[in-house]
Amino acid sequence: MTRERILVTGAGGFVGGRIVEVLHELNPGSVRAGVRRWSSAARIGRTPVEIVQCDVTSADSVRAALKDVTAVVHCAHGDTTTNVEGTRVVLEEAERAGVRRVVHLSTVAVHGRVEGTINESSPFVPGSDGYARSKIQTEEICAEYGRRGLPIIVLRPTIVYGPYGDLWTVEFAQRLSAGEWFLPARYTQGICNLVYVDDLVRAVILSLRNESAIGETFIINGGERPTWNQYFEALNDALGLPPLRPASPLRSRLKAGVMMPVRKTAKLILKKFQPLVLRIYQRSSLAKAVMRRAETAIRNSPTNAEFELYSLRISYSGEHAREGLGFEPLFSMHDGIELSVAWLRDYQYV
Amino acid sequence: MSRKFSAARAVARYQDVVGDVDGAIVAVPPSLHYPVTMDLISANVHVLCEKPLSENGGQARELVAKAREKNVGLGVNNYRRLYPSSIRVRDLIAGGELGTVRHLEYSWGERFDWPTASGAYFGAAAGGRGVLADKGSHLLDLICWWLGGKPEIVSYEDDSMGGTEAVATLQFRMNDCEGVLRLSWLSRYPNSFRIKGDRATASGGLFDWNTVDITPVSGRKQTLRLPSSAKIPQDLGATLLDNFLDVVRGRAEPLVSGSDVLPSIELIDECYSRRKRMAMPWYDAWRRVAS
Repeated sequence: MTRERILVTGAGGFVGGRIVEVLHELNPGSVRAGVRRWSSAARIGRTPVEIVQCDVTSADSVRAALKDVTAVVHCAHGDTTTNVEGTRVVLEEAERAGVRRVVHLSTVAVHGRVEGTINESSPFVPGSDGYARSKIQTEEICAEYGRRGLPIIVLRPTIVYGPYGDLWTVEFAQRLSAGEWFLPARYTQGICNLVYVDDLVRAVILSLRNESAIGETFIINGGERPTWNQYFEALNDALGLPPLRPASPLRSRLKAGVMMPVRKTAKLILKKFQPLVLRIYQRSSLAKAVMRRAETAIRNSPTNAEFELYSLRISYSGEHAREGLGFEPLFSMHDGIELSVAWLRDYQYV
Repeated sequence: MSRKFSAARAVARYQDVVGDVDGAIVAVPPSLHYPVTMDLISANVHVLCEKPLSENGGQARELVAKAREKNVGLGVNNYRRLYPSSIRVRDLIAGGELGTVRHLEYSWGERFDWPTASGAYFGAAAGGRGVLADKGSHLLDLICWWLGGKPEIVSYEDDSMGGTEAVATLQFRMNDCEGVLRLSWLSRYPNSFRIKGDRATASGGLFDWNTVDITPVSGRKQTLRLPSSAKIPQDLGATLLDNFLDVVRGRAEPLVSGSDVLPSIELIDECYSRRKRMAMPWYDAWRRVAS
């Protein structure tokens, strides 16, 4: 029997890193972690897993990473080229290598922002989000390779949170800890479809094991459907902070409007003049103080897109994953937040 | 390479220049510092080695002895010793201006973003030596230098699970002083030090290379601005290189020598020999996933 060897692309990331850790613990020696940049390997380097450089946009790089591999978990994502062309390269090379399974991580964003109950047969809605559009194209490529006989399973996770998660974990914990809450309850009554990262990893493991699910697509969601405000309040409580003070809708809207050009300008300056900015930062304590203040102000102000997201009433159905994959979420929001907060404290984010 | 750095010659094997050069800067991965440096100083070549000088005290002592025997300079790039702030802290402690030192804490944490071209920093390739050998070799060198010797380990914990640790905490003691060092490759820490004495507290940021804050027990914080010929801390790298050229020409001793860094090299090695895994409930949750 061939020894199981699983390549995880995007292993330097939040989800990919956790998949590597769990697969390694379940079966030491079975994982090959693919990273685009070596500098992202600090987390997975804590275990003795094999780490290789794997640029998914390069066929040679992917081919080398796939040597003796029996299955692939494709987590790498990024700009449109990485998402679309990178997936094509990974699937092409996986097909050539004759792997027994590919698990592709997509997103529920492919369904756009349409309110109501969404399941796997709900249509793709490209909308204006470039990331979602590229993930739709990516799923179309998966379907094409699936039709050609590649044993592929597509997972569409919802809002993934947990340790090492920047967007929905670190960022909110820091915003809450800053003590100036700015998201009025009126704008945060939408459904927050949270899934704890380890539940998503469990869905990946089930996908690697489950023969009958080949060719299927599954939405992977948590077991509860809190509102965004309930999530913020639960996180706030777990952080041991005083109850959230009501934020003024008008003031928050104004703040979002005022900060929009500041945010854009700061991003542009950092992108174009990073070495210069760093030198100024090192030389002048005044410049250092100003930059730190700007960073905090940007972090602690909402964007208009956020107001829309937190108001949406969309519920992503977990029924197909339950029936077709045998997936049941194991981590309640309470458990997930508790583990996240233990990690946030230990890593001194809060 | 030769064109890019206006070098007279580029070779793929360092052995090819032994006999032709008077001095060498060793910047290979840390696990190779000892064999490469030993080869070079055995061939009468002066060496400026990247930190950490070696992986254990035994190797470091061998290098120091060999350099003495061959009468060549052995310098180490522990350039933080050249910061005016580091020098002032040492003087404040040695001169008794802080009084008896009771507590010392230092932290350095930031996401790893060194644009390393290979995987030599991580996992098995790095011999399981991570952030402690990397950032710790700077800060423990300063701590040993400031306190005048090698402190005793109270406890050492890190997050290695058979690979390179990315988070490490060392608790130590020396005479009347208890201390803690926190290091991370995964998140940003306060990145500062605080040394509390009976008479005053000295504190500063990791990158505050030319200022130190002093707070007397009954008094207000005062920021000392220290004169320096350097405009930015990186300029001190040039100071170290100029010194190395003088070492090669026989005009100076290394600013930071192999024997200077011995206590910290030994301390790091001792930490690794008694490492304990830190509590990580979020990691151990994998058992639930497996159920």
